[in-house]
Amino acid sequence: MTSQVLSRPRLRSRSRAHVGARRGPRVVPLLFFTVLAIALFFAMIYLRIALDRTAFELDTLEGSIELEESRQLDLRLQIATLQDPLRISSEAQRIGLTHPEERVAIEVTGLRGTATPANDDVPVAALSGSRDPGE
Amino acid sequence: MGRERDFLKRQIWNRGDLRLLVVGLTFVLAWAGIGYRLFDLQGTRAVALATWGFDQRIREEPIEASRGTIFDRDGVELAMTIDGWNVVVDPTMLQDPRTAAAVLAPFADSSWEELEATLTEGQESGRRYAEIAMRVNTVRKDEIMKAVEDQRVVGVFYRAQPLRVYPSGHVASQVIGLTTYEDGSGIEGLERTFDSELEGEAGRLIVERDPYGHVIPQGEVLLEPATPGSDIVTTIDREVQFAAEQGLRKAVQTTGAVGGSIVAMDPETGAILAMASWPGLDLNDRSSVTPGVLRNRAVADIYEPGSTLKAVTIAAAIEEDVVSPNTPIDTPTSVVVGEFEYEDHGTNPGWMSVADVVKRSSNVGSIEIQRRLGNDLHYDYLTAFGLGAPSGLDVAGERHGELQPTNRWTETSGSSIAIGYALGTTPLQMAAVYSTIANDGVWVEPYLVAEIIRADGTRIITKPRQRPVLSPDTAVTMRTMLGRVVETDEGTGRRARMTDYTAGGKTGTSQKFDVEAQQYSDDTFASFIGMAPLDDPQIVVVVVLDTPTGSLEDGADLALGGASAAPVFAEVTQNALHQLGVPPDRD
Repeated sequence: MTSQVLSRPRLRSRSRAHVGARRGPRVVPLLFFTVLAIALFFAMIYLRIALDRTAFELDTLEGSIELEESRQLDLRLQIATLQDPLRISSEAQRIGLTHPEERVAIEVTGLRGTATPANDDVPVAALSGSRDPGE
Repeated sequence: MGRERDFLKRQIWNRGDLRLLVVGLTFVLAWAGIGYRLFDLQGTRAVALATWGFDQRIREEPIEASRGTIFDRDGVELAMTIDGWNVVVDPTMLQDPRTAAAVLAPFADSSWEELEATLTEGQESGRRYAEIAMRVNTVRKDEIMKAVEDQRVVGVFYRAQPLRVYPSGHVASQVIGLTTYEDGSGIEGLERTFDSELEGEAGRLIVERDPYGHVIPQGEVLLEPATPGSDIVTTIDREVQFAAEQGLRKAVQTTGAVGGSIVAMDPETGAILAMASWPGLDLNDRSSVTPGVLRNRAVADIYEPGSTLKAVTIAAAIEEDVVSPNTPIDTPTSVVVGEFEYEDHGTNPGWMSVADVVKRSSNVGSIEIQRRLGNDLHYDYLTAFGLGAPSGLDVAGERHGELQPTNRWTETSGSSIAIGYALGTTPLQMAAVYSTIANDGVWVEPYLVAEIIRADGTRIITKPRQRPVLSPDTAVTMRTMLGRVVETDEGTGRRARMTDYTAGGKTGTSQKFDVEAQQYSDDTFASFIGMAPLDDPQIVVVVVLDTPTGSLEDGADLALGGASAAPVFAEVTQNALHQLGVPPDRD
């Protein structure tokens, strides 16, 4: 046995030197690809999260758009309701407006050559449409 | 070597190695169990479980198409749809009905106790549907949604339920019509006639939702968008319509009439500017919908037009050169034709000109003119003016009136028709008749819908039919004679005179036929049909009052068209012309 052990060392030491030299280069690429794999994994997770977050934001935006469109409809309804002739008539009566009973003709300079003064008997207030509430 | 092997064998079985073996076995068993469970879930039952989860998340929801809007001629909404929601609950999904009831009760249509009982009972019985709040707007729905999310209540769903609203609910209500509550389909008026255009096409949404009802991002989504309904632009002028309705309401209150109608029409284009019926209703108040109130009297009520039809008889006679405005006509106080005796009110001079026959609305004179014209020609002009046939108006419920062909006329038919009896017309048909006279003799088909605007932008524009009936000279002659009815003190229509505009027209008073008694009663249809301004009419207005009673201060009988309907014409037409911006033609 002793002779067998002694007959090997030279071969072994050469082998060890070669093995050591081969092991050094293998660790670096392995480490590199491991780090890369881990980084890719985390990048994938991050992208997925970002996508989901964006999707939620989109969904929220779409909801906001729907809400604003709905509000626009409500506003159109409000405008149309405010323009309701019955409502306007009621409000006009409530604040004391009445139908004019007398039509006042006003001559405009230039249409018939010479200016004709407005009717002196008609006060300016009547010409402008305002009325004394007592009338 | 053998001693070494024995030594090694004894080493395996010491206490530490035994514990290692037990732990190892435990791990193996545990992992085997996990593996088995994995295999069971991911293998054997994978499809069933995935389907179960998918079914829980997947919702197929119909997307209701937005119903089209009905506009007046100026683009103001008369009928529109806004977003509404039905808030419902699946009781079987509730974790605690009591908590859910406490959260939802402030928004519910029922009390807290009732709601809790409903949800509890639903959960116990397995019922999957309970209503919380129906037909709420988007703002309200968002309030509910926020409260539900804050309290983490699961099982609440929101179904889109569009709301049909009428901003001026009382304006043109019979014209616009109504939709059903259940499915929003039209049941009267334009809502019904154009239901297929207005309703659009429903779509479909298949989507994955979480327990709170939110869409799961990047989940399954299949969207078939709905096609919105078409919009309809009518010829109605909302302000003119309002003026007509106010005039009608006042007339009914003054005269005690049981009903009435007013039609205002553009004689040149055939556009109907207003179509009012009394009694009226508010389309936003369903409780005001009583039997018969949705009837559009302007197209659905048939009446004997009385003296307003004399314009047709006389226009036909002038057009055929049978008479001229100055032709003298024998006018005794009464005349007998067959079994009937026809008479004029008051005393007549022995003869009148044709123009005076029109001005004084002489029955005897009109019958004589019709006799000279002849039944066949008379009938030809009646049909040419559109009587006895539908006007083609795009609204549901129009009746075509009643006019017998000449082969079914009796000895007295011609005479009766000459003075507006023995035939039935609608107020709309009479508006078209007088519009022909106003439009230089050209009959124009009345229409209510100016255009239909589809979702893809396509516009369908109405082009009404036209046909010449009278020559322009005859039309002008008729307008002149009708002007004397209003603008002279002897005219029966003098109460139709306006302060700002000249007008021409004809009064009409016809007795109502009592179907049960099979005879004419003392009740009347009182009418006035006129046009203004006289030289270039921009509007024709028909006023018909059903059974007006009473008298004016000067003793005039309100049962007569000249007393009750003519003043309504004046008020409505003047307001309408102001609204339309027509400059006054009276100094």
